[in-house]
Amino acid sequence: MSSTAPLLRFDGVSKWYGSVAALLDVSLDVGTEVVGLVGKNGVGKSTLMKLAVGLLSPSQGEIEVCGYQGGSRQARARVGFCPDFDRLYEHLSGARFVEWMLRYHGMGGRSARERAEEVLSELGLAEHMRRPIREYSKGMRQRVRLGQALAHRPQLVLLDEPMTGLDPVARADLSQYIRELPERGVGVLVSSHVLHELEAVVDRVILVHQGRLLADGKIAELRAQLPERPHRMRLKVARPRDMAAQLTGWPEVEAVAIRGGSLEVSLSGDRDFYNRLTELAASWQGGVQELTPLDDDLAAVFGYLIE
Amino acid sequence: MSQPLYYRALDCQRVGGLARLWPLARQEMLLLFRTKLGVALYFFCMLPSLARLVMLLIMFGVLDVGPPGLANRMSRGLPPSLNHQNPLRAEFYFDGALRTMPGMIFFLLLTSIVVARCIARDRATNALELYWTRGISPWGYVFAKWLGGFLITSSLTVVMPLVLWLTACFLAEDWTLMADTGPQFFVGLIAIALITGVWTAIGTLISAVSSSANLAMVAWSMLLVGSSAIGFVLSRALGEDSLRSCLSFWDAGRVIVRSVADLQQRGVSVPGALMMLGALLLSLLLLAKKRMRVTEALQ
Repeated sequence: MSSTAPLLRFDGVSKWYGSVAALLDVSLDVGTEVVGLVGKNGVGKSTLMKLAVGLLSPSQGEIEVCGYQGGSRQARARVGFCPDFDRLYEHLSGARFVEWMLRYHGMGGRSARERAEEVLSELGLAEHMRRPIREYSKGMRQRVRLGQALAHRPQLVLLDEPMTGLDPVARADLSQYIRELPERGVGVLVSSHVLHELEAVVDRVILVHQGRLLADGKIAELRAQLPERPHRMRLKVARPRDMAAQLTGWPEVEAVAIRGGSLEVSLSGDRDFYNRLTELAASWQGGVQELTPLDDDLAAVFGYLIE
Repeated sequence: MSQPLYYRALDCQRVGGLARLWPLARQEMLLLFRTKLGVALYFFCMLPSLARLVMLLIMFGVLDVGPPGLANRMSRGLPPSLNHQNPLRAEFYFDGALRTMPGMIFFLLLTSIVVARCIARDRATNALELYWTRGISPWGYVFAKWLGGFLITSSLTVVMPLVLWLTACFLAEDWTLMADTGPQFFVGLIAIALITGVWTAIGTLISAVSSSANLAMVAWSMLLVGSSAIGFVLSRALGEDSLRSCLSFWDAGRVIVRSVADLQQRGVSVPGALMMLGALLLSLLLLAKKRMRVTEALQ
């Protein structure tokens, strides 16, 4: 999925506001992929985004965007930024707003108009692009924000909390659109504190906590790096009490709890557990109806890491 | 830098300079015309000029109101102290825009809504982020905002006097009025355009250093009216008339325009007025330079 050279590279970047460190010695690469930037509010996600887009200068370290120094004119021309707040001009139509943003990039009037209409049509706003933004739903406004970030055809797109306030349908549409961007050669860095939103979209995640880069990798890889943490899973079976009695005797099983007719099992290791469980399920009267991992998701990994 | 083969940069016509900043200036210029209230306010601010237009129409006999012979008496019987009411004198056309009453009041009304809020409003909503990421420089942005404010303000201070003068020339019986007042009028008009530029620059820079639109509006109003009031009171108290143009940037501008247009005035200090405007502009520029640095401009 990644291209040969990173589209965004942080090399030992730190940022201080006076004596307060917002980011400390962060090094990362983003290629032609979707990378999630995860962290609680106030841990440095927005600072990292603003450094990448050239809105802030690093106190220390180097930032490179598409081979150019971060914040330079060439770098800015190659980055699309979708900010986290709604800063649209309400009286303008979506098409006009995107057109103006393109004109600020230095594009001629006619080119800007045509490109604005093209990108908004791609985002499914063809019918509504001439209506004033004040009449738009949240999903439509989000598409306009995304449209202005993509319209000048950047190589790297930075999306700050793009899913906030969207309904499930709009979320699914936007996720699908973001997922397709790497296929066009566009790298995406998307930040969110709503972890389950990111899980379906990203190729890998960068976890930030208290200004430091806590982890960088695929969610499953990160989870695998935490063997000391018990894996938890939900087991939906017939006769859960009998199953619990069976499982408590197994050496890998640390704890079993019955919750709402299901079993929640904590494992210290899973080397033989799944083989044994498969054998048991085959002979279990009523069978095993469901087996769901509870802590292989981003939220659990993130929770473990920041502890 | 190697790029993925399927990536292609946007192929389009590129523009630079003013064309790039024009949408921003245009948006600022047309701010008032987005709402009915704004349009009403704009025309309200034109009232002094419209009143002079009515005076012109009466004096040239287009409107026949009042007692017989009023037009003749109005245009011929005015003493020199009322030259600003005499359409046969150049100052009639732009003096209205320069006087404290009513010129400054309408100027204040217009600029406190358009000029003083322009940058502070964008800062408060964090819209500056969008502009900076477009590659617009902070000073390019300030220039565009100033240009928009200047164009709408000069429609009152420059365009309306020009309209009045052209109307008078058209209504006059011959070209004598044009020949008599033309040179002085155009010199004065250029001066008033420059001073409008300086005044709106002061307003724009106040907006650039303010953290909220309302604060900018209050600061601008206080500076304009307050400095004028302080200048008036102190000049009266100390018996030094020239103090007024050295303390009030509105009066400083008026004194400079009248001096350039060679209009009669006494008890004024043109160097003091120039120094006052220069010092204020420079101080605000230095403050704005710090405030408009990319990192400082964001909240």
